[in-house]
Amino acid sequence: MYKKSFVYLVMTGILTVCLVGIISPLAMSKVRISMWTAFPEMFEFEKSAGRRYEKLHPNVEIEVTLFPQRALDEKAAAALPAGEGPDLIDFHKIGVYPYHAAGLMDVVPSDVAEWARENLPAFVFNANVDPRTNRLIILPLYINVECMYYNKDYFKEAGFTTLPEDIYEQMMYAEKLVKYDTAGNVTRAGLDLRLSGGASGTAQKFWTQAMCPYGVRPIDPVGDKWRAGYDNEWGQKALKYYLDAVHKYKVESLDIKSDAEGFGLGITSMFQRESWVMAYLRDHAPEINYSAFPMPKGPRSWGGGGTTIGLSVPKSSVHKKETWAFAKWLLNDENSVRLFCEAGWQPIRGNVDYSEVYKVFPAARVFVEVLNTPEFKLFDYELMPAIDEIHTRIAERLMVAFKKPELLDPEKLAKVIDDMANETNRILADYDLLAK
Amino acid sequence: MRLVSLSDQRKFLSLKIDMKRNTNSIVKKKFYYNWLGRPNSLKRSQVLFILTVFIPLIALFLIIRIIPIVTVFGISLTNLHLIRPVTKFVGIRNFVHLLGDEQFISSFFNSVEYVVVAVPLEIVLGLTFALMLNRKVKFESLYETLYFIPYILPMVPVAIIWKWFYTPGSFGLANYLLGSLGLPYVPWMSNPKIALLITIGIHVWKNLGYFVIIFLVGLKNVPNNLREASKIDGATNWQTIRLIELPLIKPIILYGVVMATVWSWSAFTEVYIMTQGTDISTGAEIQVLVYRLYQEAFVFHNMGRGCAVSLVVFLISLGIVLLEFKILRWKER
Repeated sequence: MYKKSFVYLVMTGILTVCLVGIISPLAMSKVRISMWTAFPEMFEFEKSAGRRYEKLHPNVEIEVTLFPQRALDEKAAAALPAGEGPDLIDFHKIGVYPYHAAGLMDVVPSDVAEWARENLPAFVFNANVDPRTNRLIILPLYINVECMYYNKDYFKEAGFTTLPEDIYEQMMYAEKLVKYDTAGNVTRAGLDLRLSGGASGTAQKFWTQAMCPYGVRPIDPVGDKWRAGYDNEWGQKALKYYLDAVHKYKVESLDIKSDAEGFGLGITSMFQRESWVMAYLRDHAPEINYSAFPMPKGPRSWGGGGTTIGLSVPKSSVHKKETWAFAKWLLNDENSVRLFCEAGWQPIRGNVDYSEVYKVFPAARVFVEVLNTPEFKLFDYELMPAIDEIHTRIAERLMVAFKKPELLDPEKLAKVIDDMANETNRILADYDLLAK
Repeated sequence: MRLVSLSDQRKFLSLKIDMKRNTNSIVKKKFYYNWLGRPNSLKRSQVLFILTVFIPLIALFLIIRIIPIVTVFGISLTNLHLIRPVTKFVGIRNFVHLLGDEQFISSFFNSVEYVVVAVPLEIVLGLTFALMLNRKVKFESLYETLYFIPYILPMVPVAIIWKWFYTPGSFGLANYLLGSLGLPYVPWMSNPKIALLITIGIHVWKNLGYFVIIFLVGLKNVPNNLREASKIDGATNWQTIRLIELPLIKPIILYGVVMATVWSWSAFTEVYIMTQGTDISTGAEIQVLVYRLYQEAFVFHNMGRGCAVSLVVFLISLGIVLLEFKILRWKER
């Protein structure tokens, strides 16, 4: 009898120890939020923000992983449909939208969406609302407002005391700023137009620099569907603007380094880019004396690209509540200022006091003012799965076209635009999105 | 008349007896019937052993080779999109689309140029260096190591370094060297024809060491007495190479040609690196077929079309390799 009781007692004891051993670590374990990003500057900011958030919320652990942009594309394509993604993704809206359309991503919870409606610029909020469901699909974190950087020393050297206001004046400035060697090669571009590069970037720069001023877009809505928006005389003028710069006025060359690196090396006088370049120049070319101005006006429109990069939560996340809380926290006033100062990327919020940022980056004021200027029209990408393919294909054709001086002939130029537009329409048709 | 020794006679007799015993054992052996109901000379245990050994191998081959090929063929006949919920059978529409896609056609011809330029260069240069190294040069192992180093380096950093080398203006070493010699700068990146050739150059530079080593191994296995005999017969160096060495390493040359073809036809990394980058890049004109495949499948997520491109790459590659086998083996016969 005693022996039996003793055995029961021992068994119960072992069972209790086992259960305590299993349950207590589970109860005590932290909520681990994994986050993927594709931007090195954002990686550093998000990592440090994660450490601060962990101090405020000891039960949460933030793990941020950086992938090169294309690697993140591939990883998302493989992981998300398999339900193996992270808890939070910091990525381009156009990169994430197809996953939303396929029902693989969570929509922004109502309370967070309501907060976003009150604190984000209206056009940003609206651009990220899915027209099919009327729900906010990503929580915008920062914005790609494009402004024109210029080298103040070169402007002074050329005798300019004012900034160009429209694209024609800008071309005249570029003609005075460009430098050549004895063989006639461009050694300093008057205006860097980013004539090459991978994926869709070249098309997006072309959109901001030439399509916007001439009032055309890659695609135009027609009812609830779309058509190529540049197969007209304004689209042709946009391409001609580039061809003139390269082959007629020779203010830009295919054989010179461009973009932030070219500007940092001092071989570019003006170029359009987002605010992150300020952090790049601080770290890599502090000797460059620069500032920025809003994109110049065109004959039909004044504006530029203002695409959103934001935070999304896959449906497979098991910590949605905690993840959305962390995502919302990243947008508070303090983090918005830190994001601007540390990463250089422009926070999405316009209603924050950025005076601390202006002390570090005086040119940041231009970006914030552009965001808050209603006359300056910012264009975000359309919410549709085909948009990346459309931009990439346009970019491929543009890169070929920029090399051809024979396209200064209007007939040949019209044919190039026509072929490009046919391809855009063909892609839309593939996705059953082509308007008749 | 040749005399046969006593020991040889004994050996011959014992061999005859052995053959007789074996014949008897075969006659006496019991027949088994295989699964088709036909007589089988193997014992059940032997059949089981063979199946045990071969089934895992066959299964593995099916899983990693045959099933993926069949699956790719199946997907290429659909409109499968990684993030489209509904997939439909579209017949040969993906292939028809490729025929009308300018970028695909241009990628196809770029891939053809890759094979036409890279394969002869790799084989001829590989053979030349191997023949030179086989002539007992000083520091032979050092040369072998130097040739082989590029092959073991990962392609991504290699391609990035070459891209720096060809950077335009005076920022790239290639143009800097030309400039210091008083020569005009070359538009390495902006002229698509030159850009494709320098990209092929990177591919050849990277793989050349591999071919040097395999040809050298082949040449070292050619018996030396054949070379000495040819010298005694008055053959020149070139005749020894042409009539003795090259025919004897023909299987290795065939292997080299096949490998060089497959690698050139499936080149991707160096093309990808050269076309990327916002500071400077070649533009889309140097795209090859595998780049197109990558873009369709992993950038646009269009798996149906991606599989169609991969099937085209596979079938043409197979065709070229079979042709190479036929040509080189025909000459062998």
